[in-house]
Amino acid sequence: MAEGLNWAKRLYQNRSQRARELRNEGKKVMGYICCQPPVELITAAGMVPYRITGTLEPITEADAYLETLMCPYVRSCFDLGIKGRYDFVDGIIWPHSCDNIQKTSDIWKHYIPHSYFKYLEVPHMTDPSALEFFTAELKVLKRSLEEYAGVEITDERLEEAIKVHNESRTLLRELSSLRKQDPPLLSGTEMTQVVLAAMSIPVAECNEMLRNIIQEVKARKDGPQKAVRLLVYGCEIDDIAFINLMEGCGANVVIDDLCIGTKYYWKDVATDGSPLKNLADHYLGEVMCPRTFHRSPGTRQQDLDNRFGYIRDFAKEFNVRGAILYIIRYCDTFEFDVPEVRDYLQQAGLPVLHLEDDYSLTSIQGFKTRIQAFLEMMG
Amino acid sequence: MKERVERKLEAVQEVPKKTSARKWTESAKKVRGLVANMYLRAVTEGKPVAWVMFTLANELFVALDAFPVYPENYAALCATKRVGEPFIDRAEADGFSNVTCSYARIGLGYSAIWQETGEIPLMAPDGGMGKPIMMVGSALVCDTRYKWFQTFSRYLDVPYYAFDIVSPPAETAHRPDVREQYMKYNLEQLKGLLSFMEERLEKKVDWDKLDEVVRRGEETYRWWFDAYMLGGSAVPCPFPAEDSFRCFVPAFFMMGEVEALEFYKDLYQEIKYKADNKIGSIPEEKYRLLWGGGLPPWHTMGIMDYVEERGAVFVFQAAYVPMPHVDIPDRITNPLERMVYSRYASAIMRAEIDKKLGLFGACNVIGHGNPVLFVDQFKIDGVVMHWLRSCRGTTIGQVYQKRLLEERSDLPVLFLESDMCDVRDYFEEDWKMKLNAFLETLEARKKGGG
Amino acid sequence: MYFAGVDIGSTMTKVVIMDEEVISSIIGPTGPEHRRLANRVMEDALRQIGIPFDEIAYVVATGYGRINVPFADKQITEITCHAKGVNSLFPTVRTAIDIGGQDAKGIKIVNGKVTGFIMNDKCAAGTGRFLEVMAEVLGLELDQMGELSMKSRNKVKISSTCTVFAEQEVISRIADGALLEDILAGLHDAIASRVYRMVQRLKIERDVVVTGGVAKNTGVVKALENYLGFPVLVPEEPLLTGAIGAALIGRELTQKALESGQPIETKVRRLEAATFFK
Repeated sequence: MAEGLNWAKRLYQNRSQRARELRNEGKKVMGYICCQPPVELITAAGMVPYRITGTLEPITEADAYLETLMCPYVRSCFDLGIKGRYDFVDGIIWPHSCDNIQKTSDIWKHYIPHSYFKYLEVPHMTDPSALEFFTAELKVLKRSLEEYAGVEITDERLEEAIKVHNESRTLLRELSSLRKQDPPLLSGTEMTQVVLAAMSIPVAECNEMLRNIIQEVKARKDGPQKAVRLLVYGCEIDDIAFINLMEGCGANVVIDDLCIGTKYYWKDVATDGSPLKNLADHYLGEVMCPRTFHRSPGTRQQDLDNRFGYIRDFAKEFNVRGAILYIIRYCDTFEFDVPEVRDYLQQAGLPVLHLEDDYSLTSIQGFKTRIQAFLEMMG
Repeated sequence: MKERVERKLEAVQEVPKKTSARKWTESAKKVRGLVANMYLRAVTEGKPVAWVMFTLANELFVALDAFPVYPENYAALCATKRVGEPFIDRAEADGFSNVTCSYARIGLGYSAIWQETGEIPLMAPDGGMGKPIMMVGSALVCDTRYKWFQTFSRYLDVPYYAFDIVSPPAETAHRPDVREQYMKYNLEQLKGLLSFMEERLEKKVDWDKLDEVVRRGEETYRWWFDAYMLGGSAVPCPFPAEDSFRCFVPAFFMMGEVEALEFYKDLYQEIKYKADNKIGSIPEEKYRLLWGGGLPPWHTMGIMDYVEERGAVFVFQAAYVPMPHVDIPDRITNPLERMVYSRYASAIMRAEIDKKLGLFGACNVIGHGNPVLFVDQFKIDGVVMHWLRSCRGTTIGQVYQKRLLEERSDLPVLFLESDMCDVRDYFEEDWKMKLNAFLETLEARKKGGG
Repeated sequence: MYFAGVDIGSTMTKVVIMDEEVISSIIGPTGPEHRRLANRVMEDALRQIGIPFDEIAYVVATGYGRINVPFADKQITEITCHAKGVNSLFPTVRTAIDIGGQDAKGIKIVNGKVTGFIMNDKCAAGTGRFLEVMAEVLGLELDQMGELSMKSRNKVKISSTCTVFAEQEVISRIADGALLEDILAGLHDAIASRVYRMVQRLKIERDVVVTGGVAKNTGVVKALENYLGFPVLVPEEPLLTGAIGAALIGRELTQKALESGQPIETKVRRLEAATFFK
């Protein structure tokens, strides 16, 4: 195993390399998009979980299948799919995350060949009937994966998979916490590379890599310089370009609230009781995402604290100076929350910069100016 | 102290143009009055008012004697009168992107101005929307429907309840275990809604009354379906899309009321009479068009008149399609269960249709196969689809539907782009040019056979 | 001591040299071949007052092309510089609206410091480009348009928010026989409306100052005032506020360094062209 950070970087640059190797050795690669599909089920079935992402390359083929007036991230994923770049992915689990993802499901299935395609219904609510429904849905998914993989996913196997994935989360949290120091021991760019690398390889290998990286980072002398400490809030940032841009303007992204970020690893799956139920509770109830409606009776302030308090807590814990909301155009669930998140954080004393992007970072100069002005504003 | 904002009133020279469409049926002409009445009653009648998203649960409000007001309908009304922009501007000024649902932006802007001034905004048509004591959203069709009201608490301190409605995947919808799982969830969610409403209204539902209302609704759905299907298949077309886009209002926003049932009975009779006597709409029906997808351009429904002047009629629209007839087994007596059953059964029927067409979608909510089905059923010459900048729910999937059509015939398909309410996304010269070119294509096909 | 501010915008390059007040200023076009020649404009400014380059204590570069100024000691965004510059001219300013050739900005200001901002750099409508396009369609000079539009008695509504479609609309209106000044009034209203909608996201507070090339167009300014519901302030030379702010920041940084006894970081610089354009 090569040196941790370098290995993560190489993996990031050629994300599919390990999955392809394993496939040649006879393993099945199970792709998934977004946060909701429980990767534990994939691991328990003996397959390699692989997170589907997009690219900053221009979209050239998707227009013949998808509208332009929709989420550019989904369009980009589709573009890669239709170009055959996901030919190493045997099967895909496609959740009902949001409108953009849900309504692309049929189209992906119709035109991009895979030997397995499972649509996963994810409720929008989190009350007991929703959790019950989602548990049942996961049971259906489990049986379907068993059939496909030719492996029985016993409770033991599933509990073991949960344990290993939880370890992964613990390690990622530990790594992320090394950014509490000033200056942080690793940059936001490096963290993004690590998380993306982690989502491209089997979890056991991932854990080994992470342990390696933690050792390396703790001992390093060549970490980031002191700079303005920022929190980044948003959805799909699956490329280092944007974080790099921010940090290049004179900042350190010390903590994030991103899909390919803390949303994935900040909380563990419970380990006592029925594993399927625990998975349902975690992925529906604990992953804080605007697409899930967390019902909270009580005052408006209580509701806001319930929905966004954790971001404010992140900011405090990591001693953040300002927050950047990076919102992808056409992302309805996030767009509706923007005014609330912005105001909530501003009221907590945090300056906020709201950036709306078409995912492909076409206006780099414009972003640079805004980010720089934001940093200048904070003095 | 607030600074008074005085606008200079200037003479503005507008090229006079009618933006609404003419209506062909008596029923369609009635709708404007029904809508105005809805809002008036909410303000004057003193009944408790609820702001509701279209949820397929209007029967509950009727049975509980609460007054549902539908901000999405109100937004469409503002758009037809072209007074939506000040509300949209106000919402955007607060940070809502111009790609978020324009129904939402209008509702949010309206509420923001209301909260700021303490008064119903001046330009609000029909006296505005009555003050609600509760808000109800659902996850049916799109994300906006539960997110939007969630963010309303910025302006209106009113308890909000969102509930889920899930549609089964087409492949497995017929399986008993799947049916049980999905129907159970939908039922629990509906029960949750009922509890919330009872709490807010401080009364328990009268189950007999609810039963009566739900069964009335079931009858209403049948008449609605029959009327619309007849309207589309009759040659010449007695029920063009602009009428159809009006006449769905009672089904969506008044379901369960006696008035809604009577409305569709009348509509059916009128259409039947015209169909039997070959009474169409325009003098010479040269081209039968299908509005293949996307909400209509509420801001400029008059565009329908424009194509009609050129001999083309939209004989059917696929944006608001009635539920097909569902036979609910007699053993199901609980009205909530009946509601859930009929929604589920219609989902299965949609799945069957797509299966017959060789489609087997994973999450068949829109009914991808609809345009293919309608093109044959209604003898269509050409299909027009409408992309909306702010509606993912009805826009995504249109290119797919076009491909499905192309795989089966060489029927011309035209894509037009705008928004359902925000007139600033609408470019009339562009639309007219495209429509004219499209009609020329149809003409050439008629003459030369393709 | 002398301080210089260099503002390289997408359309115009501005240089200001000051000691206690502005003593020299140059405004020139930023063409692609001029971008690497910020030094030329600087030379002109220096020549105006007859002082050599090495007497400039500090140079701050701002604007779209601020990275193309190799002799600058610091690069600061035009947002921060405009706030400073506008505040020095109008101490009561709370909101600055800058409408340039290719972009537009709204800036909230408290005591010369930026507290919030919004930018449009993607869409031509709401920038000077919009007027340029229309000037060409109507066969007019840019500086005629504002005054001519004020003659209108019957403004023609231009409803398209997109420059391309607005162009088509204008052509249709000409064909309809609408009067030139009426169409112009509609166009000025359209650009003002676009700018207003953008700045509204900031909670506009008085006093409002309008800067940038388009601020010279009285028609747009009046239309904007109509939307705001109150009068705005416009500097005598609306193009210079960025460069003034930049120079002021340079002065501030130098003074702070002198007071605290800390050395100030300046570049070893020569007044030469940017080398990375060869």
